[in-house]
Amino acid sequence: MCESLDELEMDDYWKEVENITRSVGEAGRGEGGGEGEVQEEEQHKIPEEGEQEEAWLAEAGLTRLFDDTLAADQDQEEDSAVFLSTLTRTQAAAVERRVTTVQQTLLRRRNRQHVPDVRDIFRPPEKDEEPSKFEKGSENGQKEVTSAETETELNLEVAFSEQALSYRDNHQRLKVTTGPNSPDDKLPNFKLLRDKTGQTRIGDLSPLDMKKVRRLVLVEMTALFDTAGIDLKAHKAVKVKSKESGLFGVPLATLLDQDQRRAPGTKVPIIMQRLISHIEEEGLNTEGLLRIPGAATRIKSLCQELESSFYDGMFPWQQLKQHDAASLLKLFIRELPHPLLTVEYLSAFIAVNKLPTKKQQLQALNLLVLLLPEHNRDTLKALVEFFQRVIDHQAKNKMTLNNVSVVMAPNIFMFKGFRSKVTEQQEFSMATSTANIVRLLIRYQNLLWTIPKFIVTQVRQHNMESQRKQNKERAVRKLLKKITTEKPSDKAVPEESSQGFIRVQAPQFSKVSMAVHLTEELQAADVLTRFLSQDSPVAVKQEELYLYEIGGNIKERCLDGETYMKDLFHLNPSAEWVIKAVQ
Amino acid sequence: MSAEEERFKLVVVGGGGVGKSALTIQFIQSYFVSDYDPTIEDSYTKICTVDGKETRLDILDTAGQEEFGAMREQYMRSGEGFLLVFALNDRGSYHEVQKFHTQVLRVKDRDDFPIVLVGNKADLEQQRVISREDAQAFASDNGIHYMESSAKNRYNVDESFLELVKIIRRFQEMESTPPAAHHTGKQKSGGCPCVLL
Repeated sequence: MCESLDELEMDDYWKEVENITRSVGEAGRGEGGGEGEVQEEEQHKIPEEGEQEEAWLAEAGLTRLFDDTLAADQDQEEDSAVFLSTLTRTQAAAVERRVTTVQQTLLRRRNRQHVPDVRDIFRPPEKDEEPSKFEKGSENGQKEVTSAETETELNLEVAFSEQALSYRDNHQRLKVTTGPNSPDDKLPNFKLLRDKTGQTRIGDLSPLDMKKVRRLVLVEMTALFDTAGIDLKAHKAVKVKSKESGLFGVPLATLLDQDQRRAPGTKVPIIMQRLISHIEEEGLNTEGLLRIPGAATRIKSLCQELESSFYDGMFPWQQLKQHDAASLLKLFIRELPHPLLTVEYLSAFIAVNKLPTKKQQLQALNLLVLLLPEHNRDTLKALVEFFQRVIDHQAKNKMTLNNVSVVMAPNIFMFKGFRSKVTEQQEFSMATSTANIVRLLIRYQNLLWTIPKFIVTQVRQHNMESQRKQNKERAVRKLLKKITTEKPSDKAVPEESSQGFIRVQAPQFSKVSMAVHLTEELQAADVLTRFLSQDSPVAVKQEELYLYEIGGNIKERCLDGETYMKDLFHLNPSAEWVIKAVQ
Repeated sequence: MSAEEERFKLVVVGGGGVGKSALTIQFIQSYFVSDYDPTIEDSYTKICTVDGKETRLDILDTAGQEEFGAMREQYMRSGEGFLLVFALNDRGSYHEVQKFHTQVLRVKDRDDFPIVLVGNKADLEQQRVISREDAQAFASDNGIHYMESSAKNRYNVDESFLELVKIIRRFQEMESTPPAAHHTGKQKSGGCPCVLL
């Protein structure tokens, strides 16, 4: 089957839309469509001028930049300053643009005098003679992008927005015109530029650092869209009335709360897991799996039956037909009171299509996945993993990447009531673009659920900068107290680095620490092997053990087995290295 | 962790390849490591019962190689008892262990300290170059305990470590007896070991 996504193949999309419409008509849920629409209206309220930017700055933790009543809070002020100091030029420009808008609005609205001037926040670059490590990196990146055609090479060390900017500049200068949606729909195999300090997957960092990641990613995503001149209309999430319990039409958070009380640690709704595993148990070779709908009349009663007997374990799974299960799965996604991709970012996901290159689309998706709340991110991951397993059987079930994407797109993007707001013309263009997003999400899932290195680098800079400030304070206090205590650990660091080894700790083992010689080839996995070859922990499974980087310029990071220890050691020389079970 | 818990820092020192790690791992995990991978510095923890009393031992297995000599002073300062290990089939290691002995006393700035001298590789009797008598004479001259062991055959392994624990206990009990209490004779320290000033 041809890999291109032409209009002919969109037939399935419209068929799916028809099925959905029919299922709403026939199996229409108790509340009725009318109310759903009213709720949507509220969900999609587009904020006033300036309000959107205010919300954006608040989300990035930069409220202080426009609200001087908060300026008295020293901690927050310092935090903002530290955060800003880690931004690249393009990221800073994105922040600046929004601060300016908010200030203009504020001035117009209240005619207030004491709003901080944008020039005070973004002083002209003083330290240009002494570019930071990061800026050097971006310059390297620019050269790289210019010199070679690296469309399929993924550079994770340079901020995506900086890469996009130099791409744009080159293309303007060279007067190269590229259609916004190139006809070539072949998805390339993106090659990752090897990062010796290891890949950081979502979940590898501590919640504290993840908060910083989120702020940075928000700024970076906006900066990336800014380079393409795309204005993201953020939608504010308004609380909607929704069911407090049950399975269908229940908010993801409520559902998971309910599931976690039954099975602690649940990350993906049990009902969804169960539907997926039922479909798989019936065999993934079934032709037209996910595409062929179940019987709409049966779905309604099955739905009610699940609501009443799922948690009791009384639901007759053995009688559930595979296509009905697939329809229930799709219904479950559609019925979520908030879209799986969230009200806030749904339009940003769709706007990804407007980015000029596949690479930039992929990078934007990467950032958007990072911005999703954990529940949504984990649930989406479980879905795309399942879709991939379906696609793996395409020789038998004829469900190619395109087929699955086309069929699933309306279910993921057209949640309850959304369609009523969309004109026919909009819907037509949305069909191809949403299918494309689902395609990218499935195809590149392994790349998308990771934190790009430049973001981790910025988190490290943030941590170092705040530590430096804290240490300064502490030093002053220490001086005042005149405490002179000799700390042996102060000496240990330079000594160890000059000796060329690291000390690996494993508190739950009988061998609690081991000094390991740092060679060029030593990887995190080797360290684990060395430790485990000599010690057999009683209560822990070996697969659950990982080497962690703790302290120094990162709170905590679970290391990818292929991390080169020497390279990472140079990046974070005062870190501790600890073997422990994954949380 | 209760304040009552007894906890000792033991350090295993000696030249390269004499079997420090083999002894330590045999003691901790009850098997003989045959691989020859030079140690830099490993530490272990084990709870054992000596004379009916539970003790947590923190055992530091050190580098025999001269390259890591810089770390010696530091662990010698923190160690509360030392296992000085040499190989019975290696004269060089016997001389080296005598140097370690001097260094421990110098770092501790004392004439005596809890130390057990261990002649390892007793299973290689045919290759022995250090006689039991010589080693015993050196030990006696310096007021330390001497034992011969085989990490391979698990001979005198636990005994060496446990002997050291007993010596540390005796030593620390003496230390905690205030010198001012001399005229009242040795206190029966059945009660609190704290010194009330």
